[in-house]
Amino acid sequence: MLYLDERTLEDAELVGGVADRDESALAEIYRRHGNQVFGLAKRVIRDEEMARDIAQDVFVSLWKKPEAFDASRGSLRTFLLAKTHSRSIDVIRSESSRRIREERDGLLRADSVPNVEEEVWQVTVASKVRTALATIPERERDVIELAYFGGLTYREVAVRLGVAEGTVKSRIRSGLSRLQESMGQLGIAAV
Amino acid sequence: MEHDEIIGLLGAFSLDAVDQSERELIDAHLEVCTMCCTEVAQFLEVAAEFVPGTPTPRSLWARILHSARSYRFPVASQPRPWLAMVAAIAIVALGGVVVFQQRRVVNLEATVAQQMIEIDGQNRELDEVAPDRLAVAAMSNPSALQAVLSGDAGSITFVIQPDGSALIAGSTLPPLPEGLTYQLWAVVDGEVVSAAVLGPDPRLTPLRIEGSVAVLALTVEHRGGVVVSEQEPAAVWLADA
Repeated sequence: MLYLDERTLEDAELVGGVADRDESALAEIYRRHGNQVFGLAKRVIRDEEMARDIAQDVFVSLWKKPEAFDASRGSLRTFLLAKTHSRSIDVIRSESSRRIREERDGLLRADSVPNVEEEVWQVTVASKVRTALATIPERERDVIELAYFGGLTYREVAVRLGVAEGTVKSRIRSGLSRLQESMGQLGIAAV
Repeated sequence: MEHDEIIGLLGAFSLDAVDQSERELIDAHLEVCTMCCTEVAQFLEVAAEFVPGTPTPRSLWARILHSARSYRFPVASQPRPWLAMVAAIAIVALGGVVVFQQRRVVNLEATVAQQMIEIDGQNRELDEVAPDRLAVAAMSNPSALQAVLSGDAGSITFVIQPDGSALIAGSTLPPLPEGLTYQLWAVVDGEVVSAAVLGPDPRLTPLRIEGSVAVLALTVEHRGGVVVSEQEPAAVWLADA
C-alpha cells in the first residue's frame, strides 16, 4: 500500500480545487512541482524549448482532466512526473524528432555510462537519494539511468551495454526494488 | 504474454523503457492486476525521487495560465441526442404543435427485460406457424399501418394493426454479431419508449406499439437492450415523412 502523507492529502485537495476550476489551486501545484516537471523534461529531452512545451502540456492537461489523478495510487508529484517522462519519451521517439534524437544520441555517446551516473549524482539534490543510489550495484544503476534519463528502451540499453535483453530487464527491476527498500530504510517517501 | 513475463517487464515499463506494443499489453494487464499495479506505483515513486529540480523559465507559468484560460470545457452531453433530433424532425413533419418531452418512464428497466422474455416466448410459438402466412394476414388488413424503417445497412418493415399488435413483415438488415441486439424505439404521443428488444436477427416477431406513433427508430445495443440509448439509429421511419 502506498503512503498517504499530509502532503499527498494536500495534493488531492489541490486537484479538487483544479476540478472546481480554481486557478490559484493550479498555481500552487505549479509552485510545488513546476521545477521538477520542467527539470525532468529538460533532462530527458535536452532541449529547453521542447521541455517548456512538455511542462505546459502536463499542467494544462491536469487543468482539463483533473480526474485522471487518483490520490489512492500515488502522490501528485509522481503522477505529474510520470506524465512528464512519458511525454518526453514520446517526443524523443517520434519520427518528427529525428534531429533531436540524433543530437541526444551524440550527447549520450559522448558520455560514458559512468559520466551519466556522475551527472545524476550532481543534479540529484537530496543526499539521502544519493545514499540510496550508492547502495545498489553499479550495473543496476547504469541500466536505470540509461533507461530513465537516457530515454532508451531496455532493448536499446542491452545493445548499448552489450548484454542480453533479459539481463537488462531483470537489472532494472531488481535495482528499483533495492532502491525502494533502501529509500524506505532511509526514510525517503517512496515506500 | 504470460504473467511472469509481464512481471519481468514492470521495472522497464515504469521507466517508459518498453516499446509501444509491450506498453499496451501491460496497460491492459494493470487494469485487472492489483499486485502488478501496486508494484508499478512503487517503482514510479522511486523514479520520482531521482528527478532534478530546475528553475522554470519566467514565461512558463504565463503560458500555462493563458492556455488553461483559453480552454473551453465541453458542455455535458444531452441524453439520447439522436432521439431528440428524430423527435424534432417528427414535430416539423407533423406540423409542429406537439411538445416533445423525454419523460422518464417508471420501471423502464423492467419493461425492457419483460420485452425480451415475451419476445423469446412468442418466437418459440411462432416457430410452429408458417411465418409467411402470418405476415400476409397482417398486411392484408387495410387498416394496418405499414412502417418501413430504412437506414444505410438495410430496412425493416413493421405492420401495425389498429389494436396495437404488430409484426415484423420483412427485413434486409444483416444479423448482428454475438452479444448485440437490435432495439426498437417508438415516439408515441410525444414520448420516447422502448418498443422491443428484437435480438440479433429480427424475424417475424410480434410486439405491441400502441398509441399514435410518430417515429420508429432501430438501434444496435448490447445484448439485453438499454433503457437509454446513446447510439445513432440504424434505421428510422417517420409517420408523416
